[in-house]
Amino acid sequence: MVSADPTSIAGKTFPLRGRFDHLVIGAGEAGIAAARAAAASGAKTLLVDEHPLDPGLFGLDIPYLFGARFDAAIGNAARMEERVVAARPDLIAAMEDGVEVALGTAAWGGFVKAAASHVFPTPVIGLADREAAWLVACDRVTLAIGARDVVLPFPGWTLPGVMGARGFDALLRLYGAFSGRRIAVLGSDALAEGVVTSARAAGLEVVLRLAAPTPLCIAGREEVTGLAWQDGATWRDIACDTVVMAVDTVPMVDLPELLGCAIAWDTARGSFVPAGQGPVTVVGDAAGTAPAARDAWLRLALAEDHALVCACEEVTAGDLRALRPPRYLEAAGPEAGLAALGTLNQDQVKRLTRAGMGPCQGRRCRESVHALLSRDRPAPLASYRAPLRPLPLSVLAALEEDPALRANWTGWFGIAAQWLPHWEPVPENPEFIGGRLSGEDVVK
Amino acid sequence: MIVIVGGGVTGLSTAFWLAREGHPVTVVEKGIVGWEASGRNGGGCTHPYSPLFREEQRLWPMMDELLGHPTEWRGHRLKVALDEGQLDRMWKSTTLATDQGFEAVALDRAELRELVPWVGDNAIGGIHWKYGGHANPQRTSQAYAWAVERHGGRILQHTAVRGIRVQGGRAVAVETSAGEIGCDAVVIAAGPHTAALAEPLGHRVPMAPARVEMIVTEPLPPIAFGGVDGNGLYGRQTLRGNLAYGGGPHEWIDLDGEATPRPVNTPIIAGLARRLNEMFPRLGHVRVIRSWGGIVENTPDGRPILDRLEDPGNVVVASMSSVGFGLSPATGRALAQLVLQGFCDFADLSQLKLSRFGNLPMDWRSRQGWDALPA
Repeated sequence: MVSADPTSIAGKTFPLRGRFDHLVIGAGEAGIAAARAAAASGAKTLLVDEHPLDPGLFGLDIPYLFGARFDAAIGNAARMEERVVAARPDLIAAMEDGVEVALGTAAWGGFVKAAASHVFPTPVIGLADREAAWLVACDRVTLAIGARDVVLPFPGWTLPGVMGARGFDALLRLYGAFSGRRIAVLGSDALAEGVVTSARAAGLEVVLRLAAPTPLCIAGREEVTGLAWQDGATWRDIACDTVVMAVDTVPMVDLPELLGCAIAWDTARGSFVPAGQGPVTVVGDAAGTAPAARDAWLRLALAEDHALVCACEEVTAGDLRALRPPRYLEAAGPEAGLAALGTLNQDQVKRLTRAGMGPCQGRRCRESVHALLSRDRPAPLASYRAPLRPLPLSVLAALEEDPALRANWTGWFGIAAQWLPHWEPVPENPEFIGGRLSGEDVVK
Repeated sequence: MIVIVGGGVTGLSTAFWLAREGHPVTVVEKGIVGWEASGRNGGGCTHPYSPLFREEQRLWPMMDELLGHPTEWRGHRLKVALDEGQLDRMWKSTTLATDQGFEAVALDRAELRELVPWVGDNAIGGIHWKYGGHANPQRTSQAYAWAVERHGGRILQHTAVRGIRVQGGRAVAVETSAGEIGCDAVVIAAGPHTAALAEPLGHRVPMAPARVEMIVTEPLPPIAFGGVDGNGLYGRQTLRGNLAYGGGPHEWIDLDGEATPRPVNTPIIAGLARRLNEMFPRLGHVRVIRSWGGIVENTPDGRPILDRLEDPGNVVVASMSSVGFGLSPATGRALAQLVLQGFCDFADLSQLKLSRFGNLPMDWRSRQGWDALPA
């Protein structure tokens, strides 16, 4: 009997902080209801929610487009937790039903059995708070992770004060930390209606509602000071400190994708929609949002080559069309531009232009890039990878580790002859010099 | 017509060198060029244990110009040691290059920190390799492909090879999902799929596929030499500033048919973060923004197979045994010579023949403990 390659993943374990019958991710209405139902059926149930967020994420517009319209209160974790609980009174009822609730806990990874990995026969979810990452196992997982904002890359969209409907709603109603006063709202559907209604209920001034798609420009130097838009043959403008882009939201399909769910383009909704599979159920907005008139708006915003699509990596619509390498290379793209690639794939275009490759991982540009790449048919989904929230090295590093992993860690496989001169035959007992950690030699 | 099976860096580079000399080439790729391990690796260009090392070092500084697109190549590598054992092994691999006339300099902690401001007091020192380097794998793969096309070669993406038709001891055609392509010579450089493609020709090419993982952080201000390894990690700071690092356990897998399975990640990525944070303790606050994986293949001794077969005599088989990106400029040139003249005139490839595995037992994977985890 030969033992398994000690430098491989075989025989390594991944310590768990908990094992649950049912894990529910996202403590909105749908998530709380799913968790209470699971607990009522006798399942040992954990309900996690990333709110209150790591304060660093607000500035990165993760998970929503917060547009820097938040006050200093978001830095006070205890106070924010109180507000989150106050905003969602059903959380108390869920706890009384026996649901274990973990707030301020983000799901950053999902690990299931796949063709290229047999490590986890049943789902294991990576969770993290502001201090550490850990793993939990579950028999069933319900994803109630909601939807995220869609950015329209009109000039000025990166100014502080430009936000999405979800970002606005979270800051206003969940955190009570919205810092704007005079608001312009883009959008015609229920999403925009909701923004207007809750803004007015909070005593904010809604100075403009643009329902029909039209070219526009957001004004301001340090932050938003106004909005100009085309009205027939003329341009009009208005003063405001906040522009809420409430044209559309799209389901968060990141965790479903990691958990092996099929993600299909839904033409009617104009977005990618996940399908539950096996132990994974998707509920609420994550399972599909209402159709919206996004295309016409995006077409207008992307018409100009100078439209800034990816703010993290400074990639414009023109850069994408020309398939231009990133600016630091000061190089031209191929003569044919995007056409040089044949069938278009967002991941490939990303690696060549860097659009979507920054800290926000395309949360603000996926829909724009997708629209640019979709011609006769929708471009395929751009892939997601863990960590689904940008975790500090120290937080991810804090995941508990099997001592066997440390003892056998190598830089690259453990094949001794690979690192010795290839113009000489393989020695009888080659010494392994390839990138090992300190400690006892386990690789022979 | 020379048909290259596989649009990874090895096949693309071979096609580039052939097309550059005016030979008609067609690269057949089942997916997108450079999409698998070729485009998603550590980008290292420093392989002193290879007979192709000298050529690798000679060619990289010219590749941007030769290919006509930026590869993001940058020279030099730095090694960070956290204890004497690590430093000892680093010097052993350094000697492989210095014995060939390349220069390396020992660094104490202060000197190391001058070059890599992220290292902490736990570093005992390091080595500055004044050779080697790193490049951007995806950009380089694509640059090869565009250069092939510019020189008149053809690249068929989304086209799978189903077989190689042999007549009178020679490969005469490559059968693909888009029809048959007549050929004068074939290069099989299909990564982990090479074995299945060579088998019907009567050759056992022993290799085992495995999945490996990397992480990447948000960008940091660029340092002078971005290729910094240590603490069981390989990787680099990209020209944009991100830290991209890999290492740690691989998972041996089985392939099912002609598709390459999606290289998913596991919590090994936390182990990568842990070791990166140990190597650069000042970077605990830096955010990991993504991870990825790749599928590579290894031969039983971990060394390449670069060989022109005796029968059929116009077929070349190439596997870089999981370390192909950095050597690719040189490998492609060597393979082009194998195709055209049957031997390489600038490197000794005598130990990289397929025949070295002639007596390998059928169950070699199990004997080496390289079986896939149970389904």
